[in-house]
Amino acid sequence: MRACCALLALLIAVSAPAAAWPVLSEGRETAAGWCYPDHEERQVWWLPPETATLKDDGGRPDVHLTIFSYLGVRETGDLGTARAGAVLQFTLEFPSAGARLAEAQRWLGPQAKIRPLVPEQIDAEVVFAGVNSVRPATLAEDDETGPGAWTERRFAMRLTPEETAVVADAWEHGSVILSVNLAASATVLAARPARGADPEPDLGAVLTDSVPIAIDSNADPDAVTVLELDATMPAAYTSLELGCAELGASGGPSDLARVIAVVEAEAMNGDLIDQEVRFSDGSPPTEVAKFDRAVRLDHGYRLRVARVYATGVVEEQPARRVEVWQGFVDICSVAAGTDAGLDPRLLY
Amino acid sequence: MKRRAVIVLLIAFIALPAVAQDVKMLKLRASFISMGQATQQQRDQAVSRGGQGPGAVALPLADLVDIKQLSRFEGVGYGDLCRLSTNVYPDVNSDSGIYYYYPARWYLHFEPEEGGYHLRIEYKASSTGTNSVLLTAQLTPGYDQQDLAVLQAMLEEHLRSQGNQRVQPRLLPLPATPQAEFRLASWDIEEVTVNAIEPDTNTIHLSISADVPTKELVTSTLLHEGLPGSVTLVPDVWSDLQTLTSPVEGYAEIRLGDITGGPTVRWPRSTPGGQAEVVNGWPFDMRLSYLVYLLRDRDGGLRLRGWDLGDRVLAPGDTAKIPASALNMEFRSEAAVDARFVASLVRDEELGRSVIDSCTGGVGALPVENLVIDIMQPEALFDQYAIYRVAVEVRSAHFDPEGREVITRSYVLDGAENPLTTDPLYLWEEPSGGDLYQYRVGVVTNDGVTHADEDWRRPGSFLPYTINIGSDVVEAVLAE
Repeated sequence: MRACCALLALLIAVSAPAAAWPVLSEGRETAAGWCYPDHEERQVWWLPPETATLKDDGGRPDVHLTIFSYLGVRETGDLGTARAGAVLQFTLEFPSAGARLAEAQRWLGPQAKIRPLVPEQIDAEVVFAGVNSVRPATLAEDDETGPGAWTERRFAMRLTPEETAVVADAWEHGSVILSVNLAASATVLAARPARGADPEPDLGAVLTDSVPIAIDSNADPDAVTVLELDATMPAAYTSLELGCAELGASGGPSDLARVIAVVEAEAMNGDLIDQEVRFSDGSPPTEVAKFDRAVRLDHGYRLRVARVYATGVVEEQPARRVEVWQGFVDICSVAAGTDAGLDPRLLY
Repeated sequence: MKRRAVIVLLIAFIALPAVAQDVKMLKLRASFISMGQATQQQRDQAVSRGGQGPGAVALPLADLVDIKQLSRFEGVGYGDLCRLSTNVYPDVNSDSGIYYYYPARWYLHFEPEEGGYHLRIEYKASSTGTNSVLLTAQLTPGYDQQDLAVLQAMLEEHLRSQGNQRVQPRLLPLPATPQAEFRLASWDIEEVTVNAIEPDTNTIHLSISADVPTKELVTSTLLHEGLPGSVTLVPDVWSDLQTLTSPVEGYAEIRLGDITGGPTVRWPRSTPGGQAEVVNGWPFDMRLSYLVYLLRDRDGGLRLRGWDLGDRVLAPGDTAKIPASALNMEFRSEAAVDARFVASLVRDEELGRSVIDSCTGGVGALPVENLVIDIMQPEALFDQYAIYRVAVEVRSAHFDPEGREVITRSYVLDGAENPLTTDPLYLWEEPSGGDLYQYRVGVVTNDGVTHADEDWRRPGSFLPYTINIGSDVVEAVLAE
């Protein structure tokens, strides 16, 4: 199987006692897992976690994949800009050791004092089925996290374009399969020091495990979210291109002095704000009404157009309501500027 | 307006008998103090009781204390019974009886009585840069005195089970400085600024700047899996004997629909009409799973008892009524350490988007507009009527930002700079509904004769901030 390894390294602290270390070479296997005796207190046994598990989030495994895309449009001034990516998140937790402590107690006898051993460092490695590129070992943002004890941790990682493509394809075909390889370490003694010798504690592995994760698109459709950001954006610093060839095309003296358009849109605080565009003799055939404050894309806009003649008389056309932001509106053509019925945010 | 439903819940009891015991309550500090003062107070509090600092080995009470019958409440864990970490650090001086607690998790703060979510998404003026959307949020650990009472009961039970009851244990806050960190590079967020952490409540204030597509990615993520972060508690080392020097890590999450970000749903203090009311103050559906209470058994030990509420869903604003007669006396006895509803929120895309919408704002209309004077085809107009200059006199109280007096201003135009942008008009509300301004036009012809309006003109309805001057106006003025 082709696989890609993405290493998420993190450090966690430890509540290790000042001088209390498990002795690995003297470990005993019990029904609760391996237990290690304390190097000083004969009755104390240390029980490391058996595994980490995927946290339950309201009855479903806490693993989410967000696949997003964004395509810039003319209205937002970033026509042609494309973004795409995916973020994988999952939460691991160490389950309560209560039952295992009791089980270990039964194996080791009533005199034994069983103590949970909290790992100091955990390396987590994510392996995607179907991806063959190898990722640098410390890509995740958590890898610089300082030491700190934890019982649960959310992992978040941005997938590479290759991983995104493979994972999205796998999702469409039914399931995404990955596994998280864990290696947990704590300060331990490899062996009990010889009589009179100083102990030499060092970080040693106390847990290695692999947590398989399968995201089934049928069983857990909420595990993957596909976001088309440009389609759901409620607001933008939008701009609208307005065209009027009437003045420039007259070719000679005309009574028409101005064509003025006012684009009225709703700001995010509910205010109506407007942008004015003036066409006069010599103006370019297109002008842009650009809003420097964000306006709601889902509320459309109101377009008012007036012709102002050399006499100063203002001839205002009936205002038009345009429900969908168009990239271009010809304000001097009766036919143009009507609602095409298409959402241009999806067209460009 | 949506009609709010009132639902009477039929409840099924899951329980066994137990016995009463006093629960020692600890008070949380309520005043707002500085971080330094807070840690100093925590230290003083511990020292006055013989404390020498937290020891390095935490007691994982969730592992060490068995709450009987917990497994009978499906899906209910220690985290549902106590919002504090169930790991407590004993003081290195075991004779002091001090154990240090700390918050375990931080959630997006929701207060039904104070406007809902502490989340704001503001679209700034675009001239401020590409990252034109500012997202601010408050995260809270959300624990209260009842959570401390539950933790105290668990601690006492652990010590009792170990035969170690020499000193009455006392829970104190872990003397530590919280440091919050959110690394959201996966969401194209370069930096999350932690503006403040309130020492008395551990509430985290943070802000994120983003461009519009990134804001959309972030807010969409808030509806689903949320944005993760961490809170590191750096111990305040104040004794050579203290062995806890490594940071302790908590978990933070910015996510909508997490019930732990709001107040714990509790049994009300009073039951008028013999019925307890639970109101869903959240903007999401609330699923009520259980009403539980933690009980001290007569012969020691902790036990969870309660009622199955059948996962009944309350819509936003709906009220559930529970007849108090359906409960037993034990529920309100002193043996009950704490009683709370185990509930969750049902995340819904549409509701979530409307929540985000209600948290979103931005810069709106500016309360000022510049007055513009526009001469139609000035070159031809000046030639045709032998005009040397056009003068416009404008009077308006809106030239004054507060409208204290009517100000008159004059503008002289030679047609070269056209349209002419003049002074700002401040758009305070006109109480009398009068004109924004009035103006008179004067024309100076090439022969030096001045003609002027006698009467004041009023602005047009289209483009009220623009004075259009064409041949009609000029002819009218010349005819004066």
